[in-house]
Amino acid sequence: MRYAVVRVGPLDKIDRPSRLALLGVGILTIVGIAATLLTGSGRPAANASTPAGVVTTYVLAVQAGDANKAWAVLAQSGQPTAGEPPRPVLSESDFRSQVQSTRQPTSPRVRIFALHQSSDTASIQLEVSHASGNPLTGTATQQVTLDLAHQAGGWRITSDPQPWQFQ
Amino acid sequence: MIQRRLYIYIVAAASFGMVLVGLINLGSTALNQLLNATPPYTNVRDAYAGFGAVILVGLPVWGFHWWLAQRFAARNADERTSAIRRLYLYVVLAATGIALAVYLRRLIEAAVGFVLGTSSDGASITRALWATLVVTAFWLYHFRTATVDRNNVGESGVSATLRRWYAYGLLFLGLAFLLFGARNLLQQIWVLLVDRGQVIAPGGLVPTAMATMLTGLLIWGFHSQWTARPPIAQDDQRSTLRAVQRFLALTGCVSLALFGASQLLYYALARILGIEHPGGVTTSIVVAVASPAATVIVFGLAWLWIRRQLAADAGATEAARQAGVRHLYTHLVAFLALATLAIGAAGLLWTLSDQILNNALHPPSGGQVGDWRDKVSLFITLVVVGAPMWLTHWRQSPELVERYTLSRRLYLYATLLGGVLAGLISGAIFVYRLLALVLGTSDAASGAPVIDMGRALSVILVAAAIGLYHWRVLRSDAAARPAPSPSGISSPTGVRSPAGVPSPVYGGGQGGGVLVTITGASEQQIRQALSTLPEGANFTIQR
Repeated sequence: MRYAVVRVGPLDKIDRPSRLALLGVGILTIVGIAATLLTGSGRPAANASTPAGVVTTYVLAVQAGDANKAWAVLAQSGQPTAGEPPRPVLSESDFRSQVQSTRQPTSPRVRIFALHQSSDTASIQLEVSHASGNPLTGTATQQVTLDLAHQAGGWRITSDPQPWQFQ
Repeated sequence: MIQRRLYIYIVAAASFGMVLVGLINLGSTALNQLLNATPPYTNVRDAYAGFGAVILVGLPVWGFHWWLAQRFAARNADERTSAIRRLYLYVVLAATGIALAVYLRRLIEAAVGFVLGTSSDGASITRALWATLVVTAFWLYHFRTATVDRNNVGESGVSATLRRWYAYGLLFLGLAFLLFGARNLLQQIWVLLVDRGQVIAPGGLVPTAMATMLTGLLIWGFHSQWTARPPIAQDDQRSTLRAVQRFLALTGCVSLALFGASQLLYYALARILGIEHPGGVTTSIVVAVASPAATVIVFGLAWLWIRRQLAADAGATEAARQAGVRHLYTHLVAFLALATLAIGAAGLLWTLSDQILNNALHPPSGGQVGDWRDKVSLFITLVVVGAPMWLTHWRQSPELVERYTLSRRLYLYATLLGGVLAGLISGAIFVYRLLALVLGTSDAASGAPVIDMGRALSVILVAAAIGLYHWRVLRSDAAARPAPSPSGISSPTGVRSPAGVPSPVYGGGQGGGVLVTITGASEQQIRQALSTLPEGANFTIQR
């Protein structure tokens, strides 16, 4: 039996436009890695002392599939506003199963769009950008609002946590 | 013989599919269990039983039938040249090639995400790695088998066509991955660099775009190099599929580059007209332009690049084919530009008619000023992008050689068809709303039929203008068409000879002779060119 050998030639055998494409891909890859590493340092500290810190803790925990950590920053005995369902809307087991079962291969980018804070309450509007199959745009962006209240020495999320929005 | 081949290769293909699915899923289940990851199946034992059974049944069946196929191929060259065998090989190669693209992308995405700290799911890397290894092994084996067959008995006719379907299909898929991945990555880099908002989770957008681009580069790069080397390169030089693949890619690139340029101009124009959030974008305009700017850069460069490739392909063939490719490219771009121009013009008239009629029928509330200005910016942009593109690519009265090309006729008839259909539908809507107004239907009092008639009229005007213009061009082309001469040879009546060149005279000629007018060559060059005529042929050179 004869064995076929498929050789891919050296770079100098590749035509100029293809070499330029290769160079472009290389540059984009390096710049992409550098930009992600450099811009990742400006993230709010994930702690319970500020509303932004709580939301950061929550979103990162949901994206990592850590249901315990995410559940810990949700208000357990919030007073529901008139006309709204009691909070949290999901039971702990439902929440846990949602965090673990609805994980997507690509997590979205989440940034703080607007923050409104008073002494005891806060509302954070988040911009969530998912990878999209739309050939014209590449990403799909939507806004999600999380309400928080200051309880027991720390901030807690009182609105519907909507974990699937961040996965 | 054919029945036997059909039986062997159909069973081999089906059992091969079972083996592949079973191996990938069985390995993934085992890896999940080893790494204590969340299993995709609620009952792991069920998964082991199911995928184990698939492998236990599929593997011996595939092994036996493939052994038979290889045995017959080794004994008989006809068996090896059989189109059914090549169909099996290239279908398996295409299926495993696409699966390889999917799993490789997943592997790179998970690995890059892990390295960049945007993903902590280590199990997904091992699962994707396992699937990639399995698919790569089978793809390589079948690729090598196809190469051995080609080296031993050659590849022509249907077999070569099957190979081209595989090669240019994967080339197209790889190119799409490469370009969309590069566009998305450039967009994400732009957003990361200019967005001053507090990002609390970078997400997996950069790794995903990077994975798509790198996967595309590998798939496209391999198949591009493979098809560019002898003997495949020579064999495919005149291939229609090769040209179709490039023209499809070109159409996509031109459309997306035009779309991106329109979006960019639209945002700029809207901001000049004082629209705060053009097109309803909620984020800052610097972030919003990331997508169209990246689209223009990546697909604009790809447009130039594919155009060069088409020119290079045509350059290697005869002059007629070069000209054909050039005309096809020109008419394709002209058609896309005209579509952009038409949508812009109709949309602009539609918006203005809406504004005028609404103002006339209802007092202006002041709340929708931004809305109509936003739409006007968008449609003016489409006109601004489409008009120069169309004007630079369309020629009403080109040279004779271009005037009767298939691509020009396709362009003319497609445009005419689009214009007639748009006019027909809008005409029907216009009459329907007119009758509603006359008969006093329920919404007639609010003036809705008048507004709808204004909209329909906008489309009718543009469709009629485009349709009439192209109809006139078709008539003019028909009038300029050379009339058949008595000898059966066309004479270009109505076509003026260049200055100083006597007009050709047609007639019975000597034995159905041809009168040719040549310019731009000396008499010596013409005599030299005509020296290859067959013995017994005569020619006369007349100044």
